[in-house]
Amino acid sequence: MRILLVEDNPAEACLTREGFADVGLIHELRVVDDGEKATAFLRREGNCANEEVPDLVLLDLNLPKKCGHEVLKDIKSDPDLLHIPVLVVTNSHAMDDIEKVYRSNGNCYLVKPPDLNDFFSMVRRIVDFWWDTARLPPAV
Amino acid sequence: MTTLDSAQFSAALTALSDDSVRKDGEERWIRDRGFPVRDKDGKVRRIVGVADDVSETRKAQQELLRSNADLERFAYLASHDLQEPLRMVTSFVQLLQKRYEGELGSDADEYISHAVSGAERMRRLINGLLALSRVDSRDLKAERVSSNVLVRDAIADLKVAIEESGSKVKVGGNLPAVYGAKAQLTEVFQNLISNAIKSASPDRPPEIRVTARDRDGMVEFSVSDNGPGIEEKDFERIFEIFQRLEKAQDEKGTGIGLSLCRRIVERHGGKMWVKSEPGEGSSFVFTIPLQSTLPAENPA
Ligand SMILES: Nc1ncnc2c1ncn2[C@@H]1O[C@H](COP(=O)(O)OP(=O)(O)OP(=O)(O)O)[C@@H](O)[C@H]1O
Ligand SMILES: [Mg+2]
Repeated sequence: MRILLVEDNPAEACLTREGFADVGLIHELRVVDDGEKATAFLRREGNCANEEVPDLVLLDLNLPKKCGHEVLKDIKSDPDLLHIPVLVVTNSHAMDDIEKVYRSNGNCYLVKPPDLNDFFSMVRRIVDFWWDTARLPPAV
Repeated sequence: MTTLDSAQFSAALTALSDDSVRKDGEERWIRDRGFPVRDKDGKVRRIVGVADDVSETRKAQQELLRSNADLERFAYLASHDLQEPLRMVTSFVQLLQKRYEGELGSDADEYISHAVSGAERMRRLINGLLALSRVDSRDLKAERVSSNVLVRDAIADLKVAIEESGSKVKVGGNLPAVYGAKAQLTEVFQNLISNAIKSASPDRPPEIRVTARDRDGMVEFSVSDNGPGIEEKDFERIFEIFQRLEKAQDEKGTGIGLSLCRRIVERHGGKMWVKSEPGEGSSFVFTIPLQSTLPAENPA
């Protein structure tokens, strides 16, 4: 499984890496730090030509250049990408954001818990569900 | 001396009030009171009047209104934007603790644990502020709710605290239905019951009574305890934000609970106050309308 993390805050990205390291999956994680790079990565444009399309996207909403909502729309309107589960992981509790994400066919909305142990167990549950419980289409 | 005809009369009055735009073009607010001075035949001779420039007063009033709104907006945004850096501080000190506890020496362990508890306290404060600013900044989703359910939910949320403290919570009979926002009203009961538990006298287990009675189209609720009570001089102070009494034992309290309760009650069109005899216990009393009285929901 390959995961793409779209997160502009290096501290947040570091924490998510630690979370995946905790469950032994650190090597599956790629990180990009703005919305445009995310779209380029997924479409393998420019210097992302050699990247593999990920099996799962973890997407922050507050991003420079192109916000998470737009990235989500890009993914879900691209026939080559729309099958990829997109998990929005954000600090926003706003009902507006939650609604918008599901209306744009986001697969899941998660709020980052403020406590480290809660955050780690959220990562563990993501892995339990998307790796061991759900079945995903074969990689392209 | 000339007499003024009615045209001159109104021109004179207009002259008094039409100064609302100054020569430099700045708009001013003028309050004028003029009255005619008549001669012995009843003819108006003069207009005597005072025109006050009340712009400053008016500006102050408007600024006050705006600053309330700004303050709420500020509290909301600040607490929202503070969440992320706070999460970083909390998470990384927790990570330090998790990874390096016992390896950096006992001083380092102690410093880290101070940092962890400081960050936790900050989080409680910010969450409290956020809750407080949400009371006014969001639409009140009011409906008819049974106060039996409100109290039952509040007690269920406090199950552990009630059991650990050996508290008895009694509900006086069947409580009436009220008109309000369920989650907010549950929070009021929860805060009051939890305060009663936290402030209990050390020499007797807490006994808490929740009762209700009708009063002028409102329901008056009361949450009473057998705790140490509160002195009259503190009756208002405890409702202010961040105010806690010196004897408050629980170092986790933030002093936001009661100000949040009062705001919620006032948002519903009710009032909240405390009655107490020191040594005998306290009663927190509040009123909630039986029916919708909120202007937004009753378009005339
Ligand atoms: N039932 C009570 N009996 C005696 N004192 C009380 C009672 N309820 C509140 N107080 C006093 O009023 C203070 C303010 O209460 P409030 O609920 O606002 O804050 P808190 O309980 O200290 O903190 P928080 O509710 O934010 O966690 C308390 O610290 C306590 O000193
Ligand atoms: Mg309290």
